Amino acid sequence: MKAVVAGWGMAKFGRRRATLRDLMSEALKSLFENTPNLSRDDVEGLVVSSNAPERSGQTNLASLASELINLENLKYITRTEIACASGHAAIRAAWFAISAGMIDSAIVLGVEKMWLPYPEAMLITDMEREWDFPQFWYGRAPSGFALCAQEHMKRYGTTREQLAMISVKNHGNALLNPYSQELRRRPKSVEDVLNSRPVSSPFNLYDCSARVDGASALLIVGEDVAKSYTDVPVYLLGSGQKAIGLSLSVMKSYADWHHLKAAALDAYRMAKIEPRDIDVAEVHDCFTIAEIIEYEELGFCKKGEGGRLVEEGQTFIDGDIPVNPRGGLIGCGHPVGATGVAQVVEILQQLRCEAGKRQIDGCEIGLAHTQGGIATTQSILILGVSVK
Amino acid sequence: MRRFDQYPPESEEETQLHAFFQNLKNGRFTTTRCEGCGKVWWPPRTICPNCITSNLEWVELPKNGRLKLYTVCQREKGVEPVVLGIVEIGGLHIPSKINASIEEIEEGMELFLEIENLEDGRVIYAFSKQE
Ligand SMILES: [Zn+2]
Repeated sequence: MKAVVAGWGMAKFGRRRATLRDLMSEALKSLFENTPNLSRDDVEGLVVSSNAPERSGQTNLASLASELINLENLKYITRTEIACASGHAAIRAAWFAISAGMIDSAIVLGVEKMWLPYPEAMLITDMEREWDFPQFWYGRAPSGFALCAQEHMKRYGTTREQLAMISVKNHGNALLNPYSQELRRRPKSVEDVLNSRPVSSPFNLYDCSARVDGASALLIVGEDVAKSYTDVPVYLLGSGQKAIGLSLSVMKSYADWHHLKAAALDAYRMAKIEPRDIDVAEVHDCFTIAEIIEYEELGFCKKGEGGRLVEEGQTFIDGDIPVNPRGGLIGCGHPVGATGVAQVVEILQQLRCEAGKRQIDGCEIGLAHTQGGIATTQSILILGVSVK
Repeated sequence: MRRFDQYPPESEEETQLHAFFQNLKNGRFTTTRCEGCGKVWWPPRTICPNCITSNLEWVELPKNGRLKLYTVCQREKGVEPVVLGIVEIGGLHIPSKINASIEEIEEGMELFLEIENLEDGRVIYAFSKQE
């Protein structure tokens, strides 16, 4: 059975005065409002993506979510977690359950509560006590990706300005997205990025995605029931995942993510498409360098030319291969468990021509990419309005 | 509330890699080598990831290496920046704090192991310019 993404729901991202319950309720309500024919009796699966609800002192989120909309016909319920790629793990779980014939429909719900009034809460997710390095609490994600940037700049000549252009592009796109975080100031130029405070060289503040609260939802159903919910079925066409471990020491190269390239090849092969067939992409821009390396490994340009691709404007909304029209993690904020699901919400809106001011003309095939850890876990989904 | 522990567990009660920290206390920088396939792993292991056996021996690593990559990290305003980097020792990539000033830090520079004693008796390692 082919699986179709048939509906979406979003809660506003940002520093929210809201609990996990509140955030999940908001995204679920939005999903039902946007999918008029969806009844809670139809829902047979519920997969919740959350990286660390333990921060709020809560586990077993899928059970909590089922209570929020009184799901009485559930046959499959679970939570997924592979760090920042948790959202893709949830979508894949729902897809597999439908393909296996176990269920006809599932809600995928991504959620993260990051802003809590006690500092211990942040420590829980900043800790990597089983990592390979005793001073982990200093740097974590910003420093890990900064090392990737250092090697990429040295090996391929990627410039500081090219990194900054990713931030300018994605902040600009986020202004067109009603669900993105609200910021008092957003960088409008390369200079604005370069003048923001240093975080971990070469990154300044605007090179980094911010931790925010958020939730996002999708309805995924079997092809045979999809027409009840949507006039434009958007199929899950292909996917690839690779992991090479967790620790920084397992990476042989910090500028070349061979395992991402391998995961992308698997996804393209499964979807029977080539990188040039992609009309729109949402990629994991946790830090500016990540988006540049992803262009290369996903095959949007040659290795080493990712910086030039953004410099030439080709990944802007009006470019040849628009990337992160939603605003990405940098523009929207990064509620970890909700991010991967929100990316697919954007792909769905683009393929259904519902993306408003962000709409890219003639979108038929879209790609979403996320990663967990310091690029060690990679995940790709390819969606399209027709099956090849 | 007990504060969340920032440092790795080191005692025999808590970790089977206790020997690494015991060796470090005695001034030896060690890791595990598989007796089956011969591979030297970082970080140290209780099983060889290739052979999936426990035939591992502790081997001593050189206490000096080269700085492969580094970043100057300043996550919060008003805190002293910290240098974090990847130290290459015998082909291994060892992430660590680098005790060096921003003025003297340089890719490719030689670095030496530094053992730091924590208040509760535990030890951690870093690398610095001086032997
Ligand atoms: Zn072995």
